Amino acid sequence: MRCTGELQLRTCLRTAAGCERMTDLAQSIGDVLAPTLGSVEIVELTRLTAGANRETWSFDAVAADERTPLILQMERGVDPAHAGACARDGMVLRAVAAAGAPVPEVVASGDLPNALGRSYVVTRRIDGETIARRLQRDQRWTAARERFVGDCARALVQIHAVDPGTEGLEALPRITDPLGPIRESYLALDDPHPAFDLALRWLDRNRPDPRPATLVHGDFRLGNLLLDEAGLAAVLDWEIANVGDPNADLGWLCVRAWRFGSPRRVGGLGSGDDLLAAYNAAAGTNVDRRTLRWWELWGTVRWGGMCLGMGGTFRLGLTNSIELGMIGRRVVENEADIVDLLHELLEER
Amino acid sequence: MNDTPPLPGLPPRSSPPLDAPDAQALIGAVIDYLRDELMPRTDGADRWNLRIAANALTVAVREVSDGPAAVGAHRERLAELGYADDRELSEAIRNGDVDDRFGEVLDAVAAAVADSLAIANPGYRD
Repeated sequence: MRCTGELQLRTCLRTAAGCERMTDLAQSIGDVLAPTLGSVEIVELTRLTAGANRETWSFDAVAADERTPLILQMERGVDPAHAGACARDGMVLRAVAAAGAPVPEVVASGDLPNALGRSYVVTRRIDGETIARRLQRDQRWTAARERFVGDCARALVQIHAVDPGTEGLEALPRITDPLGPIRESYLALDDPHPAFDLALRWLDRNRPDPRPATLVHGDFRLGNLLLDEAGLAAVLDWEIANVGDPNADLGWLCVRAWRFGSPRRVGGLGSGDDLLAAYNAAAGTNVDRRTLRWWELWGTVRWGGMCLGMGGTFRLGLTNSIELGMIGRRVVENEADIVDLLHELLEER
Repeated sequence: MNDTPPLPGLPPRSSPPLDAPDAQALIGAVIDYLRDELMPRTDGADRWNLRIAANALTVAVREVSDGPAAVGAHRERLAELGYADDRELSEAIRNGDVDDRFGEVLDAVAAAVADSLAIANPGYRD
C-alpha cells in the first residue's frame, strides 16, 4: 500500500497538474502554520504514505533564522466516518504529551474549516527508526533493543494514566466489551473460520477481571514505535486510540505478527514476563501471565479479522493489488497463532 | 538439424491428455523469470511488487500440488465431527454445541490449519 502511494505520487509529479497541486499544498500548509510559526516557507515536501483514510507528508518549515522538520497528517477525502480524525489525534497527542509519554510534539492541528480543506495535525519530525527488521538486527540499535521492553512498559503506564475525561478525548470510541468489536467485524465478513470462532468462544467463557477504562493507544506495536539510539523516542499512529481496558495494549504488543519472525514475545525483543514485571511495577497493578495470554489471543483474533478484511478487498474486486490479495492468504497465520495459543492455554489449566 | 544429437525419452506427463509442461512447471518457470531475470533489474516499489508476485506464485504452485489433498482431509475431519462444512462447524462453536468436546474440535481445526499453512507459508512456525 505504501508502494502504491509512492507510485501514484511519482505519476502525479510528472504532470503539470501534479506540480500545481504540490505548490497549492505547500501554500495551504504555510497558511495553517502561520498562526503558530509565523511566515514560513515550506520546502522538501514529500508524501510518505497514503493509507485508506489519511495521507502523511514530510517537509521543513523555513523561517528567517530557523528550519523546523515537520510531519503533516491529514484526511484523504471527505469520508464522514473519518471526518475530524486527524484533528482529534492532535488533541490526544497533546493530552498524552502532558502525561509525559514520548510522542511527537504537536505544532498545529485543526478541524474544518481551514486552508487545507481537511482535518489535519502537524507534528515535529523526530529522527529514528520504525522498521522492525532493522530494529531487530542492526548493530546501531543494540542499546535501544535492550531498553525496549522497559521503555514500552513505562510509556504504556503513562498513556494509561491519562484521564479519559480530558478535554478533547470525548470523541474517542468507548469500548465496554472488548469482544464486541472484533466479533462484529469478523461476523460482518460472513466468511466462517472455525479457529476464529473457537477463540471467540474461549475468550468469552474465560474473561479475566476487567480493569477500569483508560486511554488505550490501540495499535501499540513494533512498526508504530519510533526508536533512536537512546531507546523509545515516540509512540506514533494514534488513529485507532480508544477508551477501554488498558490490558488491550499489553496483549496487542505481544501478538505474534509484531515479532516479525523473532521468537521473543514482545516485538521479538523481550519476554512477556519482563513486560509484565516492568508494567506492574510502574503502574502498581497485578496483571498476570494468563491475563496477558487472554489479551494476546484477543489481539490475534483482532489482527486476523483485519487481515480477512484487507484480503477481502481483493476478493470483492475492489483492488487488484497482489499485496492485498496475499494478505488474505496470511489469515491462516493468525489461525495457526490462535490454535497454538489455545493449546497453550488449555494445557496450563 | 541432422547434426544435433537425438533427445532422450521425455519424462511422463502428469495429467494426460493435457500436454506438458504442466501447471506446476509453468508457474515455476514464471517464478524463476520474475526472481532471476526481472528482480535484479528493478528497485524500489517495482522490486517489492515483483517479490510479492513471485511469492504469490509459490503459494499457487503448492496449492496446485497439495490443495486437493488438504481439501479432502478437511472434509473427512468435518464429517467425523458431524458437520458438512466450515459454516456448520462455526455456528456450532458459536452456539456452544461443542463446549463439551472443545479439545477434540480444537485438534481437528489445528490439523486443517496446519494443512492450509503448509501451502500458504510452510516456514511460518520455524
